[in-house]
Amino acid sequence: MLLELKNIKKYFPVKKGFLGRGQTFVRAVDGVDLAIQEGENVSLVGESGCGKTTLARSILRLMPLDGGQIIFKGEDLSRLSGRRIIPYRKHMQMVFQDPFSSLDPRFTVRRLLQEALTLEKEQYKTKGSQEERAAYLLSAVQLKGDMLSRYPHEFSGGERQRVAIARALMLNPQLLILDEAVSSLDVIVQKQIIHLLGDLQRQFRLTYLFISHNLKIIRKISHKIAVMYQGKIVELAPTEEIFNNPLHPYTRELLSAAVEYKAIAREEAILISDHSRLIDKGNGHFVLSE
Amino acid sequence: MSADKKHLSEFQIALRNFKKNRLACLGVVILGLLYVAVIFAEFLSPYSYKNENRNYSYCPPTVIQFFDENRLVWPYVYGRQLEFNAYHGRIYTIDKTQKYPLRFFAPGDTYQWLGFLPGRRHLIGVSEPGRFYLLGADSRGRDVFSRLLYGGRISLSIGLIGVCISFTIGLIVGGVAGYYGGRVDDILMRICEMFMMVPGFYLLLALRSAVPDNFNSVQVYFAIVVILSFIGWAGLARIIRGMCLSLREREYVLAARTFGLSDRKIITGHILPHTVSYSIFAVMLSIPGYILGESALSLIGLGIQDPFASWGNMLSDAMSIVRIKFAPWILLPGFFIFVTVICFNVIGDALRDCLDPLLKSEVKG
Ligand SMILES: Nc1ncnc2c1ncn2[C@@H]1O[C@H](COP(=O)(O)OP(=O)(O)O)[C@@H](O)[C@H]1O
Ligand SMILES: [Mg+2]
Repeated sequence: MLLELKNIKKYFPVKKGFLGRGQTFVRAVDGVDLAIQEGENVSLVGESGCGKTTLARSILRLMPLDGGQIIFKGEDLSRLSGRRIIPYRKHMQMVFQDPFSSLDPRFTVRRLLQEALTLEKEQYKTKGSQEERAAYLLSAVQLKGDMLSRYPHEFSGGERQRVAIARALMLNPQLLILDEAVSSLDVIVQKQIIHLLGDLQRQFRLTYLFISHNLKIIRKISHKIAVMYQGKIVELAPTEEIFNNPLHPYTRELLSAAVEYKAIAREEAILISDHSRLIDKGNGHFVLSE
Repeated sequence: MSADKKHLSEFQIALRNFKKNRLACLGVVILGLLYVAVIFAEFLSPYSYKNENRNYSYCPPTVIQFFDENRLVWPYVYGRQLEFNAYHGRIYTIDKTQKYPLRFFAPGDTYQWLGFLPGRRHLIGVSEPGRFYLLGADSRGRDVFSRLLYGGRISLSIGLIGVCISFTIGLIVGGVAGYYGGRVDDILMRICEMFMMVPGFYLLLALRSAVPDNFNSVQVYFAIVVILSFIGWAGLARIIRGMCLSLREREYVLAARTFGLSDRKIITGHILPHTVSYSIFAVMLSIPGYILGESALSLIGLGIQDPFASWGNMLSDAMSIVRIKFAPWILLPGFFIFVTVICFNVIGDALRDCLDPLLKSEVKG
């Protein structure tokens, strides 16, 4: 098992009332369990605001958890504090949602990539070896080597996202989290990047946690799909199983929106009670129910 | 590395627009000249700041003569004759029998250039007993032009050093408060507010009164710098903190954290550089405050003490309307303060204009 999430919780306080009386919380992530095998791509889908980004950032410990465990290769990362988490960071990297804000505009691509080697200073001691690594990864994401001395504003969205992918791969991670990595790109570029991700997976033995609000674009790349709704995973199944046999009403709604490009009217509001849990329906298919 | 030259960051591109603002360029040239002039004050000034001659109190500016009996000759100046009128007022008349040719690299008062390089040559001068007052003399017969140069050194450097100190404090405090947020932020911001609550000039006076009065001139100088920076940092810290609060949510900051970069490296590498587009013109616009602050202190006699010169304490001579009428050139320090302040403001405004688009995208996302 590469990564195991157990009952991950992340609540955000909502400012309310005088002196914090009547404090309420947004349950952005509310008790998520998920297991990712090596080489088995998992996709996390759900409408925006359902907590996907929050979950991804919690996994990388970019924000403190409110509960749960993150077990990476048998090591519980959720217990590690500040400094001790740092050596583990290189195993899990992330490509962010917005290619226009994930690359610092003041840095050339060369600096952006070399900065990512901070944790591997031992291995890449000389400027030359860092430069070599940067150039190697640029070619791996099919960008030309002469782009090293350019600034991010000289790139298109797709190219920036390739740079971001190259940067995430600098440390040779095992798990790559892609948070809506292609959502802001146009359809053709989306296809190219998805294709590139397939190549990179073979080349670097990666495992992807692919986050998207669009079921269609993840069909090719994922082995398993987890459908998220209001901070909870409502259905988890192998990809084809989700497409062919969706069990949860929210999944059906999502599918009809993605495949037929129309929203079906909700017959009744989808209610999720606090007592519901994932029930095994066979074939690795889990659905949230009472 | 030569390929780097072709590629400019957005910041560099924005800064290129600065050159298109003629007025601001003029400001840069004027300030440049002023700073060069005060750096070489010892050499450029005909006299030392404390070279006095009471016989020439409020002596009017010396006119350089180029013609002698309608022939072009080596420039020279006439001597002066002092007489008193019926009301014991001083009247200087030109004594055409005495001629003193101008001398370049003339030996004069000895000095230590910037405190270490000894010398006694002055760019221009006349031999004793002639006196050369390019911009007139003050009450004690000291050369106003020389004192303007020496005084400018104090006034102009106080602005720069003060701004450096308070911006360092402001950036660090604002950066830390904005990046960490929470309790740290609360404490630091309350401290800032304490400084901002007290009106600047009263705080200035209060802090000045806390400085021991047996300080020598150098100590007083640094005391003033420290006092002025003490007042200036809080406003900047608050603004930087606000910017950092929004900058730390940037995805490149999160990305940097996934690489395991230390907080210090993130703050100095990814957060504070983005406040530069604000800081750079805020610096320009706040330097006048330091210059005016020093001038105000010195004007009322709490700053730089005679015989040392600063534009402010030179102006204290000009606090009587009778004297201004009799010797208008003693207002010149005020003119230099005015020009300097205007220059910094024009440059600051021009920088703001060209960095504004960048600033908007950096702060609002
Ligand atoms: N820093 C934050 N402070 C308060 N609420 C937040 C914060 N980040 C996210 N949220 C809330 O958490 C919920 C989930 O957000 P997010 O994880 O960004 O969703 P997604 O990525 O699926 O669109 C949203 O309701 C959002 O408003
Ligand atoms: Mg999101």
